[in-house]
Amino acid sequence: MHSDAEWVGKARQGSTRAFAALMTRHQGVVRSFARRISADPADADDLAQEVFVFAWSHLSTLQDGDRFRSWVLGVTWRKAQTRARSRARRRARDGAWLEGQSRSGEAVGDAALTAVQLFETLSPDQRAALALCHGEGWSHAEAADILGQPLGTVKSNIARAKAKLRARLGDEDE
Amino acid sequence: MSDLDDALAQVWEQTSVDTAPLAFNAGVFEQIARRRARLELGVAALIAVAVWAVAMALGPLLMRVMTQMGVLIVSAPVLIAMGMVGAGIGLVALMQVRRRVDRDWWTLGLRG
Repeated sequence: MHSDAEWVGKARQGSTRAFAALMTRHQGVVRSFARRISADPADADDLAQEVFVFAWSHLSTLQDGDRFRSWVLGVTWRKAQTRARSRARRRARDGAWLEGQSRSGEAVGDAALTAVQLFETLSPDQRAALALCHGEGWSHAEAADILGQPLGTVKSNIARAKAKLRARLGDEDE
Repeated sequence: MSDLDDALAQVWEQTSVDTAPLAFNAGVFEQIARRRARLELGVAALIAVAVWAVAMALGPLLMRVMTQMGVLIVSAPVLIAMGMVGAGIGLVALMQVRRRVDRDWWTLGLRG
């Protein structure tokens, strides 16, 4: 079985087969992460596709091929932020802020929220940190590297996210 | 297991993606090919404009020199013939671009 570095090396030389192998290996993680951090889960797959299109044309900037997975997750995070900003601008321009109101936790009774809806009430930073460290098993340092944030920020985001979720759930074993 | 762990486990389960990746991969390759085709066509258009600009700049000068040398007698039939030759070359170039878009760039050679 080829390592990521070997596939990346071949993909850099133009092998679409190698790049397809990389996508097959990592698309599940990238798509899951995209769903967890996207403001609109419906376009998470579009975001994931955009990430791999970017990866194909920027493979030469990846120095260590074995870090392909963390690299594409970092790209996913940055592109999700860009999309969120443009969506916010569009929403402000269109005056459709009511749509956002209905998505916030305060507008819906906590008891009625599913686990996923509760998760979506967290800020994007908190969701991303929690998704990487708790959902995917990355260490805090690796998550900080992927998100391009200081280690302390990642740790505090996770702590705040957990505290917020515990408060909503009425969990007593903090 | 606490309520928090239970809730997060539900989130990871409901948001994880394990479906077959073939359609996803095909979509990515289609986007890559489309982007590359746009880029290549843009470059081809720029080259065509550059060639046209050079021809516009040098053509009259060249024709004047050739006329003075007696090599070329500028007349309507000659101009029409030169125009037809130029149009033919342009058409062949355009067909080459289109053929490459259809066969190579659009599918990255994955078809067949």
